[in-house]
Amino acid sequence: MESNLQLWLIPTVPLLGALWNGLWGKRSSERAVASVAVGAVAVSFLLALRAFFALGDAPYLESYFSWIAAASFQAHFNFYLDPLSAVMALIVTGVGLLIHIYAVGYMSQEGGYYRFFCYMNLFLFFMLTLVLAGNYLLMFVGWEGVGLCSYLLIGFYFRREDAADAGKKAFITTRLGDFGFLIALLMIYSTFESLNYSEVLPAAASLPVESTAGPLTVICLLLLVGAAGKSAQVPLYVWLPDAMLGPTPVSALIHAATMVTAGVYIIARSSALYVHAPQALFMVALVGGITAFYAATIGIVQTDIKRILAYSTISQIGYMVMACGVAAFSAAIFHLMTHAFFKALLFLGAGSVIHALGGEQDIRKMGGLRHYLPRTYWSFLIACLAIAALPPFSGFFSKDPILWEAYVSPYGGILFWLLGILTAGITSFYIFRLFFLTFHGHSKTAVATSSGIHVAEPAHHGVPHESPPIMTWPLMILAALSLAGGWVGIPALWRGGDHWNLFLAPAFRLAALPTEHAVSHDAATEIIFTLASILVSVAGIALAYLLYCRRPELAAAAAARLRGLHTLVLNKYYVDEIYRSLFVQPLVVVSRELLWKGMDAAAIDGSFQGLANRTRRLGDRVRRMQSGNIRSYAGWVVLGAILLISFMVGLAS
Amino acid sequence: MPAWNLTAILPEAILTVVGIVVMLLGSFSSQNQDRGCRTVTLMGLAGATVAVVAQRQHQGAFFDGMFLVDPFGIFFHLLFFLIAALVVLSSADYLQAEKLTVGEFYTLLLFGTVGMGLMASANDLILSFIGLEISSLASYVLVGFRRGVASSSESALKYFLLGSFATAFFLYGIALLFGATGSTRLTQIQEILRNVSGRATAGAAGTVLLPTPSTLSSLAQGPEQFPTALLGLAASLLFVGLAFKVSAAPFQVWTPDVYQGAPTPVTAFLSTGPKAAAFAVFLRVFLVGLEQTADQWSALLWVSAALSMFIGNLAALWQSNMKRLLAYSSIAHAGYMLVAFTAHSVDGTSAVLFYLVAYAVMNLGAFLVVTHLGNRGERYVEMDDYAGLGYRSPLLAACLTIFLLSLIGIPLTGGFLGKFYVFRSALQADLIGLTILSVVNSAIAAYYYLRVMVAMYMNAPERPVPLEPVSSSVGVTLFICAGGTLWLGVFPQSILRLAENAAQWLLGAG
Amino acid sequence: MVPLSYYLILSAILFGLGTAGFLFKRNIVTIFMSVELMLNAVNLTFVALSYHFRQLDGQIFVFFVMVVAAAEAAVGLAIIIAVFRNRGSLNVDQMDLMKF
Repeated sequence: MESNLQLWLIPTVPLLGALWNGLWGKRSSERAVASVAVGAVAVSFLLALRAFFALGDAPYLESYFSWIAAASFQAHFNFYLDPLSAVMALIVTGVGLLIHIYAVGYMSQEGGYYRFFCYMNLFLFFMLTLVLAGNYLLMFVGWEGVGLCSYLLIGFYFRREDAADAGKKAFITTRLGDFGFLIALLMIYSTFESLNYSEVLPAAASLPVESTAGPLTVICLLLLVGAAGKSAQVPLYVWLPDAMLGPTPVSALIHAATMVTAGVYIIARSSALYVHAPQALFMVALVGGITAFYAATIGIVQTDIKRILAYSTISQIGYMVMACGVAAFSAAIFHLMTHAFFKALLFLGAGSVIHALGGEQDIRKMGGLRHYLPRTYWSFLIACLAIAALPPFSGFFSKDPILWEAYVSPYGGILFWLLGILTAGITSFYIFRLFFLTFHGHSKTAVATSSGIHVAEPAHHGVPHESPPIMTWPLMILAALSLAGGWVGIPALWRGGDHWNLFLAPAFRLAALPTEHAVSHDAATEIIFTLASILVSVAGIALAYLLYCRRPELAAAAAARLRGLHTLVLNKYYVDEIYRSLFVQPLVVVSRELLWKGMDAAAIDGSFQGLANRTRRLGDRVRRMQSGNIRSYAGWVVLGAILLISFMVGLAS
Repeated sequence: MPAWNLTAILPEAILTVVGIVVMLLGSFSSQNQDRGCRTVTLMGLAGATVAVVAQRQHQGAFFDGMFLVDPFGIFFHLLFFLIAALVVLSSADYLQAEKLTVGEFYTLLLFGTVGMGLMASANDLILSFIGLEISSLASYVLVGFRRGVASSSESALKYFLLGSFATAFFLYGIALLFGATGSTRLTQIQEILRNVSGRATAGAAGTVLLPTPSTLSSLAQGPEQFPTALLGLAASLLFVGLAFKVSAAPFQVWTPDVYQGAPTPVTAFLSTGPKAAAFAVFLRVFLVGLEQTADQWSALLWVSAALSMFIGNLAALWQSNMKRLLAYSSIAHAGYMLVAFTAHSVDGTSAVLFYLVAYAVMNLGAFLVVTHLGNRGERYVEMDDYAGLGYRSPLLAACLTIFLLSLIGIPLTGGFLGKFYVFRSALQADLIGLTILSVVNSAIAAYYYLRVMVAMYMNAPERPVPLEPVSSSVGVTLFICAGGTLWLGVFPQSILRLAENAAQWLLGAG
Repeated sequence: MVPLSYYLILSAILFGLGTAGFLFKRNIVTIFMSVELMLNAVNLTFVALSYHFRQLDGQIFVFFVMVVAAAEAAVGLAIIIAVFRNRGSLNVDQMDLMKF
């Protein structure tokens, strides 16, 4: 191992790119802006590659200077390189590089070119800080920073009111989760007297497994809250579908490949804590499993191409979280990587479709695009096969271990396996529904009505056209990765070397199952399970083919037959409404009964908006306290004084 | 050491003399002596700072124990001088544009600072009261400094009437505490109350005898019970007066109106300087003097902290006037500081001190941007006037963004570490409910700060708002504030060490 | 000899009267005088306690409070005049340019 890797350069280079474009980009040509931004990411990628190959057996730590050195609290600026963070850094910079290149073509003529690349580079800076940080506090810096960039990029189309609202929704929802993280961080410090991974993780590994809820369990649950916010897990997932209002490369980079997987990363990073808190681990698995299944079912009936992909992302991250929950951390990170490839590809392909159709996003209005967009078509197909987990595509090799572990792991069980396999079937169904509706059938887009997100896009070009090479090349590279990316982890069962697990093993050494009662299963069982999951995937594809390609009328009939269920799912299980009645209504009742009478219940719409409106309304009542009249102010003072006095004197006597 | 020693009040003496000089300079010289006044004022502040730094070698109690020179007081003195200097630096353009008399303005600022200094170092409640009044009287006048403007004189009236009303409560509290313990000296009160509670636990039979050291006496002459009810009454009256000054709920009602009507540099001063001074007295009175009755008043603090955060943040959601928005936000920030105060620990106290510094820097900066954009006559202080600022003046917008991010509490800014320490101390004191409430509040607060950022970066201006070029003094102040905010976020040790030292002294010295 | 409690109760009543005056009077000058009444109620407390304790501290405090009250009166009247010039009224209920 080299003595000094200068890890700090990896995030700093994109930061410099962001600064350059932020300060001088406005006056530079698009070409200059793009080369600075892409160049910065490319350098960062090469540096990450160098770090990757320099990786030794033991984790490598670089400490720069002390950040907080109070008597009772210490934190440093330090970076930490182990297989886990090296892989993450490679994914972030590698996929980030491809998406940057794609965006060079996609964002041209969009306006705000320099601003876009400035934010994107800034995002990479924070994301790499998050991934490489050597302690929880520095990770939190990255954690908050990516949220901020995500907010800026969702609201990128600033003339659109709903985009700005979606940005705020994302920022504030994830912030609730962030505070779970923050409190967890404080508790980690009070338990371990340190925030450095290199001290916390070994210390946690030496603690006994908590059979009842103790401090570790609380820490782990709080971390889960943070992860659920950032990774859009139940119940904090509501922001991600709305986040799709941002530009498509942003959806691909931030809301599919990197930022939203930060929750998985933090759980994997804290694996040593989690395996000592089995109850928290169970909660993780439960949250992940439920999210995976639940979001997949919503994906079936959505009609907006990006929203389908958004729910699909939520569902796939649910898989990863579930994998963490059954202590299959390396499988989770494996799926994180392959998902980054194929989901980025799906988003970029969708962007290519939207681009070709002049902003159309409704898949019911698409069809027959395979002839117009051949390169997009083929790469999209590979991504679909990958997410549907058919061999030999990458998704197969990453999803299969998760399902297997969900069954055999001491923390797993048949329930998680069932959730996983059902989700797998639904996944292949909805993704091929999307695929067939978009690329097969008759073209319905002779006249594409431009009502979608590309406001700046000039009117349709008559016939849909393939995107320029700068956009299709990244698609093809990602397609190759989606196909072959999984081969590094072919398990021994399939005559592979199981390189992935061996490589990541040092990162999870401290999370070795403390109670090693691994039930041995013979190869035959494993093969049967694998065949079952392949079968389910194929069935999903076949059903989608039947309903949306061969007999389209059947789909409508099925929807009509199952009207109740269909409406239920179409309305996203009425979660918005349930949130409203669970959280918003009580607030209304309380505020009406306790604070004011006669509140009009009219202004309730949607959970978040409703909650926001309620809060604002509450604020309105509060500010009425400020009548402007001095005597009424004095009245408040006296009232407060009387309450205080009666409390204090009452307490004393 | 002699019983009285003028070096103890050297900083205050310097400022008083300089204040008088500036006042004379202002009235006897021609119109164009503004720069001279400013230089003299800044030099006075620098001299006072040097004096304070020199005082670190001569710590102790002076004037028969009335006046303390200790790390706690020194910390606050330095903070006050920093605030005053920044306000002086930044207000020159404003005063010129509004055609206000420069000499008097600076003089009042200096006198206010003297009062604040006395408050921070007072060990005797009467001295606290006098300091409070000196700083208040100066601020009453400053608030009404735009004499010809109806809203300015109206806020001066509101501030004056309600302020003196609240001060009367404070004074009554002092009198009753004097009655209960026979002393107004905080350290003596602390000892007396310690003895009382010591006897109470020792004398299980119930005969609580008065601890009568020969010089001290109290209402509880003879064998009857110590007047705990009177003590509670005194504590709550003191609480009213101090909570009013830090604008904590439910005594915050005056804040938005006064902040809105006052000249913007004065608002910046009020929201940082006198507030910090009131916190200094608050901490001294309750953590030193009334330390023994902590289990009673901590409940008050708990409620007040929660109410302040909610009232401040909820009402801010509706504001479109930037000054009023920042006023409500200042109520909420007082709430966060009270959360750390409630923790009643060294960590909590140092969190309050650190937060005060971070808040001073970021809030002064934010108000400075508001001042600058307000233009002549403070015409452009609505949020709509900020639309498109990100394109028209990127640097100004970038500075305001830093301040707003810090007010939200995003990492790498002072505001984040401030909140971080607050939450940490609250959790360590097992104030889990209060911590959760503050967490919820910081989420609500993000919403209205973001609205400003949305306006700056994501809205197109509806009407052209004139933008004056940034003068060098404003630029320097902005740079100090923005740099300071980031500096506190990245290299907080130095300030934090000072704060911790001060907090340890306060809680350990008694 | 009049017991101490009589003085204390009297000053509490005076303080209460001052508070009530502040709350219920409309003329700004009257309101200001109510504040002065509150301060003097406190002064009475100080003097009574000082006499009771047989020490001078409390009486000296009274002088301080009187000085402060005088300064306050000077500033206050100036502010009241400024308000009157701007608004032409001394009715406190009309002073609500800023609210909510």
